[in-house]
Amino acid sequence: MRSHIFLLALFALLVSLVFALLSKDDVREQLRFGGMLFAGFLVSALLIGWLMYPFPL
Amino acid sequence: MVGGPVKVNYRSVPPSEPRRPASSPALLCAAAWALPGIGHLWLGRRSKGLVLLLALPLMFGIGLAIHGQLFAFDASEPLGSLAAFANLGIGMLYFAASAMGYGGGDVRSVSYEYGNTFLIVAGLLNMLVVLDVYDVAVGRK
Repeated sequence: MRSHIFLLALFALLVSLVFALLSKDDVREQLRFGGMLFAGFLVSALLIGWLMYPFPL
Repeated sequence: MVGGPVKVNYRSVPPSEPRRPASSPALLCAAAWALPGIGHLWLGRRSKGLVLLLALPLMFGIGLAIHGQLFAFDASEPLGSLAAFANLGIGMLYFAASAMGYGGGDVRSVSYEYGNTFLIVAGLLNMLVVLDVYDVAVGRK
């Protein structure tokens, strides 16, 4: 498990799952909220990564 | 049978009271902290409890498998102590992993920081789970 993008997606999936379970009671709402969170995590990580690309490390 | 409107004597209907679990909230919170998902299972929220029982230990296990570190409390390293506090949120798994020699961390590994993140966030999420159990136990949810 060395792929950063895979670990990022796995992390986003697990965190979204727990947040959705804790904040919503209806299964349909949990799926919707969890899916939105998961997508939000992935998109924001890719966006921030892309914005940081020009900076030297 | 066809009849007229049903008459209900509302005075005879007892006022509804919030349902309270049989166990004390403190005991439920302690159980929820010790093993993720147990608090929800105890409260009868089976599906939530089972998913939490799988997801949080899985997250903790992945953190250990990718060479994350379980931090120890050290007064000379306040940030490390904060990480230790977050790690401790996962409950008995922290002590079990430490006792079995896991969680030493390998700073040379490319996934070391990812592992730390998985371990820390698993602990913090379990703290949120404990708070959720408390809310349910006192009838807020």
